[in-house]
Amino acid sequence: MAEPEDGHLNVDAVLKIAHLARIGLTREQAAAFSGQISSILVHFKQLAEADIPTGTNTVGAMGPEDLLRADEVKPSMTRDEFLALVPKSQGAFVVVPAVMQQSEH
Amino acid sequence: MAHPPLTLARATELLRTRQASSVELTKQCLARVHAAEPNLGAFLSITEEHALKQARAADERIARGDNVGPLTGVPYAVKDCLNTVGLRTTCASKILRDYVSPYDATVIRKLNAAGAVMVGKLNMDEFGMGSSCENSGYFPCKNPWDHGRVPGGSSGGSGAAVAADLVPYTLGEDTGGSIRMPAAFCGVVGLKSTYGRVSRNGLLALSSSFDSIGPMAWTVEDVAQVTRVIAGRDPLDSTSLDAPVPDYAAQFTGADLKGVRLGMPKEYFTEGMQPGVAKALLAAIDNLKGLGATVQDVSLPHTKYAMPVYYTVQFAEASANLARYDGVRFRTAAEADDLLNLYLRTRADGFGPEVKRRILLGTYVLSVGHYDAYYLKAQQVRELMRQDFDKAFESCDALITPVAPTTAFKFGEKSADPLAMYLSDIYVTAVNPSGVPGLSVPCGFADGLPVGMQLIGPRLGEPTLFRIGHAYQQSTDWHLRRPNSETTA
Repeated sequence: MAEPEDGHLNVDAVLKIAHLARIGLTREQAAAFSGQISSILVHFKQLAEADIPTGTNTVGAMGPEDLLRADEVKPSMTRDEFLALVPKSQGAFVVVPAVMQQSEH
Repeated sequence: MAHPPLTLARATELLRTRQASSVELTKQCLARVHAAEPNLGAFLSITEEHALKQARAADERIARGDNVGPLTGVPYAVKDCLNTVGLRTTCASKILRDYVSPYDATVIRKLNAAGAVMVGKLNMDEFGMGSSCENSGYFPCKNPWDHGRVPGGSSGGSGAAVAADLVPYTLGEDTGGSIRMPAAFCGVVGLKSTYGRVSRNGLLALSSSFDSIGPMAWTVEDVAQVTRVIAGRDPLDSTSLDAPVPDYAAQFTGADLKGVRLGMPKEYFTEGMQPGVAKALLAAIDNLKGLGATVQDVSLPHTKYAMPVYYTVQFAEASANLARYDGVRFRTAAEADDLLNLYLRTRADGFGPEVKRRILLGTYVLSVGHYDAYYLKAQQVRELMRQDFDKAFESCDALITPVAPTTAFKFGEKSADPLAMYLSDIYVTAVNPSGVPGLSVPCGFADGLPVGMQLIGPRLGEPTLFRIGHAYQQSTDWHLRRPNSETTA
């Protein structure tokens, strides 16, 4: 991803990220985000100064154990309850616009 | 104020002695809510019909003497990030404006089982992203102590609703200070519980390795009572801890803290704190010493990285969690001819600027080429922060720090500069990456605005935090003061 060495994220880079994140942005909106995001990322660069001992793990707050449960069939929401939560439905189906023939950008 | 303040303990007593019915208390709270709103901005929805139905059921239960507990018949309100079946749950976001919960969050089911009465759902920063409640997608919430100032965030409505005496307690959710900050700014008590102590089934997730649910109220005792009801293992949340839930209040020792060892992390007592905040905090530490606690200096050497560690991981997890709001589900969709544009437009229209900013940052730190420098590094430093806490708790029972470097700030003071807003979280963000609990307790006033102290404990250290906080409240009266009022409890 395009990023000049000073850590500044330019408008094109912001638009590229926005596309990956599936958020529509105008060029003007991207320009506003560009300065804000750059200043935050520059501040976060101080993480590079941290002295990390070899073998430091990244397991998070819960520790390293896997959390598994039995794979059992249990009652769940009904189809009608699910369909009540979607913007558009028809019969037993969720309706979405065509997936094929979409523009790339 | 014409009405006496209503704490949970007081409400329980009124119901137990039949001086008031649940319906009467509920109507009283609803009247207070209607009088305060929409000016205060704490409530996103008022669930009057639902509340009165629950109150009538609670009265019948009390009349039968059927399993009556401290929460039975007592009104409360909840941050609007918890699912409540048949009612709107918006996370203060326009993208969820039409979403009606299909089920109750586990904490709501537990409160229902206890006979609690929910009067409404509370304002917040959109999806919990903010420290001031200015990022609500609907309207900002004001601080009851000064309507020109923010209540803190993101659980701003939860803090303001208690401080304005609208309900005896509320539930909030804390991802990086979101209960403790509004508790401090609004002059009430708030608990960020140990990660896994309270089930998050039914919570609309912001950052799954940080999010913790907890209560807010005027007293530590009330917060402890609510925690006892909502805590515990839940098969529907694999991260919930299988540890017994103690009777916290039974471990209170009055105003006696003999044998309690407190640590003052030197990294938290540096320049940059508002003088009145520092003064209140040091006076609180003297008070705790007077109750018998010993205080020693400790070091949490990786504190300077807490802010970038917290935000880097939070941005990453938020960008993943919020991918589900895509226009296909949750009832809100933009008009579009193809699927890609459905995603782009729904999210462009539905998310506010702070949410977009964080999703963009999260997508960036997880992207190829930047993952190692930001996300992986943050997770490694997070582990070092966790070790800092473990080491400190070898010689201390709890740590004492400020909650925020300042008292509540004015609307607009930080909202134009996201980085300045993030820096206001400097004392609260280390707690969540480490999974430990934090309790915010009112400890004085600076320039007429409340100041909070933060007590941090080891994992599952809630009993110690409650004991210290309760002892402190036995010897101080900060929690008895009310906004614009001479009223005391």
